[in-house]
Amino acid sequence: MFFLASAVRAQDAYRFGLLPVFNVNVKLKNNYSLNTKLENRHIFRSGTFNGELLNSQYRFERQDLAAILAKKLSANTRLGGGYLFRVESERIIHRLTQQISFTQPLNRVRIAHRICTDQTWDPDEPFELRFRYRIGFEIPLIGTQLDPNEIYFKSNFEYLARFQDGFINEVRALPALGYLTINENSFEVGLDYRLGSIGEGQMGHGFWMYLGYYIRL
Amino acid sequence: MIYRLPVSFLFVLSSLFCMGQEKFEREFKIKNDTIAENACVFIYQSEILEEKTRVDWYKEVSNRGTSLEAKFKQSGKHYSVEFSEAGVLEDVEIEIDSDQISEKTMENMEHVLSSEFEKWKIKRVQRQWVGSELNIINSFESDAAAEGVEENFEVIVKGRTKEDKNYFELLFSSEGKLLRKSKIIENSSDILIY
Repeated sequence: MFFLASAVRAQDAYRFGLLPVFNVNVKLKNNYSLNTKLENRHIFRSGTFNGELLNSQYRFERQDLAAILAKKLSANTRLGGGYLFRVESERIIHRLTQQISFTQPLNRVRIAHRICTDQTWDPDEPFELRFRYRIGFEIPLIGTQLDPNEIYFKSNFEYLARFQDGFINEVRALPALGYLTINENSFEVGLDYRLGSIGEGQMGHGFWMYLGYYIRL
Repeated sequence: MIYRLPVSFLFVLSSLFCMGQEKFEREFKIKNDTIAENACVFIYQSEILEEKTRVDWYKEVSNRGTSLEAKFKQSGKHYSVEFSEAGVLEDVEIEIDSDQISEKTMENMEHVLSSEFEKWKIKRVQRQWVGSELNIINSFESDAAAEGVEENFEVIVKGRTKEDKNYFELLFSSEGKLLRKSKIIENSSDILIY
């Protein structure tokens, strides 16, 4: 909260909305897995913190469909590559992703690191290249390991270096409460916060109410 | 060296007879008043606990059956005392560093691990005591396996075989002979990666 309060300036812009994510993970043969994700963003309110440019009209912002094929390299390491198809304001955007992830099962907590690069082609924007690092952890709220019918807390922190004309930093944080269902799917509710430069010394803050559902096949 | 080779060979050979299986385990926190009386008496009245030690109770359901587990930390060590559902003491597990295992036992364990896996790394070691309640209490007092207590080592290994890359749980005797091997079925990590 202190970080957020000190990071907010009156002229900064914000957006507030909803971010539902539907995720399906399929185990394949030979240590491969396929993760597909359907995600969209709904904006309920946007403006600047000083009250200017207020827009409280609902807007459907974008629809993403993404798939990542990953290969298990060791018990805790996965190498993956994928493609994202985005529809935003009648534009079609394409993105390629390459990533490596490591999970560390500790006594009670599970930690994961993800290093990722992606390339985006948007018909209205210059080509964009991003380097991303994300650390996340998951902790069961009951007992020492997460079991079905139990609640857990997870949090992700991500840094993105974006190259598009110039260089932009972006940070993201996602604290969420999750529930592992009896049939081992997960439902999560949280706040996805994103902070990045939007030009001329102005920062953009995104506050997205995150609803996630993960299915494992 | 002359005697080591046949002994190591025997350990490797014996490991072939330990059938591999999958380890599926679920754990539920339970309240003190639902625990079998015998288990409560052993934990709270046998003087194995230090004054301020807090005990958490769990019901553990695995492919080896259902058990009760009392978990606590004292003197910097993590203890797990396992009972049957009826409250009969089954074993005690204490988390240790691998350098606390004798050199000879470790050597035998390493031979077995090298024969079981193309590549392996020990991630966690627990000392396991199996014995009567009285002998286990004596072991707590002396901080070592007392007479009449069987001491084993439960090892979590990150391993790679030709077919598989996973975490495995292996149980070794105090001499380093493989008694049991099972693959650990972990929860999916997709919620952390994607």
